[in-house]
Amino acid sequence: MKVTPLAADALSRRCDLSLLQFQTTDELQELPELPGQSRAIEAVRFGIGIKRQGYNLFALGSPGTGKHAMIREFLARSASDGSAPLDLCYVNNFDDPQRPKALRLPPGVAVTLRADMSELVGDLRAAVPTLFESEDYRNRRHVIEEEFKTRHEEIFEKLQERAKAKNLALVRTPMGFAVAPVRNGAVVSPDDFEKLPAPEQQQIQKDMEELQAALEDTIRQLPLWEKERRERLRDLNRQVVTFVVGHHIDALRARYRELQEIVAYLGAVERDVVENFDAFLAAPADKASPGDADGLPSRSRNDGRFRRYQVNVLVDSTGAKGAPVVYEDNPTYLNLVGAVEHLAEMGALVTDFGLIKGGSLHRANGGYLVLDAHKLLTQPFAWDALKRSLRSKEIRIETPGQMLSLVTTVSLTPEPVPLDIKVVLVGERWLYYLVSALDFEFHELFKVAADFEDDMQWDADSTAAYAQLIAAIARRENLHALDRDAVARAIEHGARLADDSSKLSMHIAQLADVLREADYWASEAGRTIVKAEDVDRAIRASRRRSDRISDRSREMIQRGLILIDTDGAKIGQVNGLSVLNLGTMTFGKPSRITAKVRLGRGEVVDIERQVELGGPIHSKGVMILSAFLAARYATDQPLSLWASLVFEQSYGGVEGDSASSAELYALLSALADLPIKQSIAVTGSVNQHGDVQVIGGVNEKIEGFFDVCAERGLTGQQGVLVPAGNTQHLMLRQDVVDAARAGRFHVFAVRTIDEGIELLTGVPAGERDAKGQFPEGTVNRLVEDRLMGLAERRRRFATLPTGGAES
Amino acid sequence: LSETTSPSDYRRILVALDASRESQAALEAAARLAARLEAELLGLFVEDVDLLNLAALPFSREVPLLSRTSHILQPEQVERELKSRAAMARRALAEIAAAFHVDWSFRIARGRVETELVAAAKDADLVALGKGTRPLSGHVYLGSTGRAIAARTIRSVLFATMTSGSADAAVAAVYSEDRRSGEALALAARLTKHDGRPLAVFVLGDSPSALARLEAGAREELQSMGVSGSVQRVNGTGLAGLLRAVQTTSISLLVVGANAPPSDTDLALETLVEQSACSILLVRG
Repeated sequence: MKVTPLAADALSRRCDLSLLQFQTTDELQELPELPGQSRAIEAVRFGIGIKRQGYNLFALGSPGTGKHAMIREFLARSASDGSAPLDLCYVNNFDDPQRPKALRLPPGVAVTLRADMSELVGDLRAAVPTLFESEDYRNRRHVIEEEFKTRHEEIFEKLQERAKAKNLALVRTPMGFAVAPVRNGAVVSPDDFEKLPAPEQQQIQKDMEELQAALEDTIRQLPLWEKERRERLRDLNRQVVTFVVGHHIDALRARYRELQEIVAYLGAVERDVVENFDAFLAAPADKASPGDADGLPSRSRNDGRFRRYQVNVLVDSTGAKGAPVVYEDNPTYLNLVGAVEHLAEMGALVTDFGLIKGGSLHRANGGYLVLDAHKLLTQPFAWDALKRSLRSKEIRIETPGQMLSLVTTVSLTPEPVPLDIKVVLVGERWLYYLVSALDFEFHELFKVAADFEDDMQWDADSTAAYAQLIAAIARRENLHALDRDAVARAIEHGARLADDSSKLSMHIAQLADVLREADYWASEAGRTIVKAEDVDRAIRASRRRSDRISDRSREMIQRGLILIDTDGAKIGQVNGLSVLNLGTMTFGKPSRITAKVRLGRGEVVDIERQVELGGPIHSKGVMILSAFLAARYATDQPLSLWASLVFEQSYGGVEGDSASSAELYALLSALADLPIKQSIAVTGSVNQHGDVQVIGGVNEKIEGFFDVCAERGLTGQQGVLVPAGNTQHLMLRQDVVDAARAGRFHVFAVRTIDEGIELLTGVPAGERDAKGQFPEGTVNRLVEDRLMGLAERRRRFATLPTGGAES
Repeated sequence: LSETTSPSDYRRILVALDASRESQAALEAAARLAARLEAELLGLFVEDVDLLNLAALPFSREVPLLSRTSHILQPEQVERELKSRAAMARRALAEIAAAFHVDWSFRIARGRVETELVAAAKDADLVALGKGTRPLSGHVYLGSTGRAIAARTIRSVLFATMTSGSADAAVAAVYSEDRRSGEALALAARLTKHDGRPLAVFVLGDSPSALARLEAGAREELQSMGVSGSVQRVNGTGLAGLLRAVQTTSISLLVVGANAPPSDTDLALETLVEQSACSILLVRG
């Protein structure tokens, strides 16, 4: 059962140079598609190809696996076969200005229509006033005015004549008219009236009453005549304006005769101009400048009176080839579905159809919209808005206030636009599963998942493909070509990134970083070809840049501030290994784990857990230890110990079960009273049978202990005990490999706790014989005897009278 | 005073006030004129004795324009109304005079409107009153008061309109064979010179040679006054040509020499006042 150190070659896999049949990456062809992502590629191809509702795509995977680039490349390819999107513009709804009309027009037409409408307004502003100043119009208007003036005067003259015939007169009063008796052109005074004979007075009174009645009738008639006059003038104006407007709009109608939407709109414009021709007569609201980019007076565009005839172009597809592919980098609610903006006028916020702003859904309509899922989901209301649009297949522009029914002020409700779009969400895997679990609509709307691999198998084929990938990155990034050794080194680094000697990382971004930095170092060295040493230097330099915390940690160990022994042997004490993940930097470091035992009720106390510094997985590992002890050593008697386990000098919390084997070794050492070699650090989790199981971060852990030992001086006794299952993950640094090859550092792979304890104590673990006994002097026998002793003592305690003492 | 005054010596401008919109227009136009000519405003409010007499009759009724039924005219109510209107007129005069920095006085007279105005005109150089406006229809007309002032005084008269365009619009003068043409042109020139408004001169003549001569005369006078202006020939001495010119030019005030008292131009004056949108200043005497 003796465990021997792993051979140096087993500590890191080297790339087989014979598989790289080139001198530099310049000779390599670019891959048609990303290697190792066949599942995702199939899904993307399917998702883009299928034209059914709900078949939107979610590309999931770790950041930097090339999802975005691949999605865009596929979409660009697919979009180039599609047709250019329709133009979209909003125009005034003359029947209901609160509900602007959307016009979807062939590519390029919206901008032309906008220019035509601007020109039309300019033309009408010149033509309408000219018409109203014409002799013909003045004459026709004069005729109407005169007719009513005459009618007016005639009726008053008749009244005056009737009055005069009876010595009466119409007199203006503060509020209207009155009938007065007159003599010699003056109203009869009351005194003179009194002097008149009674019959004459009565006659005057009677005449006045009659004339007053006639006057009342006449005055009642006046408003009706005035109304009639206004209507006649309005009719005249309509006729005149219709003539000039019709003339101009007919030309536009002819131009757009194939587009019924525009023809209908022009009809509405014509009716509106006729109804509101006054606007074309009034003085401009602002001073006109000589001209603008359109060659039209700027007032025709800016004058508020004519905004109603503008065309607000949201999507202009002039010259567009293929379907649109839009990536919305900031998928806020408003950036997605658009907004109705407002202007402050006289202290109030006002809006109209000209202030409708399109969103990325508008721009991508008829094509593809790519969104970052995390950004989308962290923007208030954006996710709901996207789902609503996809479900209803239309884009409805509402302010968040309207959407939530929080605002009841009058605003615009633009006509919804039909939506035909394929949305591609790109996000991390956890996000996909989280949304799947929490949003029941998610799968209805995003039926296709493209799951991007984090790594790919490292074999002969993939070695060549990976080399091509490296060549492609170098080409895309305008880097110097890499020679064969540099590529091999980069491939090995790919395996290290994958933390697996049989895999290659698909984190393209990380790989690209190394290649960029290697290119830099090659340039610094005056080389035009990147060599293996440049790649090595890039890896080292990158690590060095972010290695400060790791350095400080080791420094504290060297100074004795953190107690770590790397030689000698101690009872109940073992060097565990942990991994710290700080941003882009991951490093391993040793931690002292100690165990103490005494008589008790079968409890193994995890001090970390007691003080809430231990996570649930760590606690689970410790509880497994209890179960292991009970199952192996105390199947027919109570487990009568109280043991405590602690990560010494750990103040930041412990999680994971990778130290559970180390904790068990410490516990066994304490029970058996056997010292553990401090020159060997331990990692690995353990199950109830005592099997050592794989853990993560094995490379970092080994290197972490190696660095501590190396700084103190390698003795040849030092090493790390790892689970046998982790040997396939070993991609250790070259200096570690070199030390192992020289016999100055060792990596041991163990399958069971027994193998490990033997190595750590130098004492055989021992197996039960035919009688079920462990051999004398073995670790297991010592542990079992100790536990039996504790059980016996406990039994004796139990039989003592209350308050008694052990004798 | 019975002698007439040259426009350049206008010192007293009588304004007929009755607190109506028309009289407010007259007040504004008169105040603007007074400011340019450094003249004084004489406000006159006439308590119409005809109206008071009528109200004193027990059976007199008023037919309001804005109501469907008539009501009895109460003397106390009319008195109150007249007092109130006089106060409003005085206040308006004070405000506008202050705005234009002109001296002013205000007087209330009781009597017949035409009689009192004609009497008061004797102490003034110019009488300003609003053009009449027909109730509801808004048609402009000369009005009995305007007709009386034109007929029974020899003073210059300003018929102000409520729609005389912007204050920046041109001032126009009629230049013809009339002996007062020079004075009209001089007055118009003085008004425009003061505030920088454009000056338009309508030359009226009955023959091409007369027109040419008059145009040359007008230009010479403008030059001598150091004023620039557009000179436009109007064919014929008739009213139609002048009206067309007035209607197609954006002007706020037309200054024209006229007979006093008017003879056969009586009807022409009425037509000119009614069919031109601008204010009309008749330079008479």
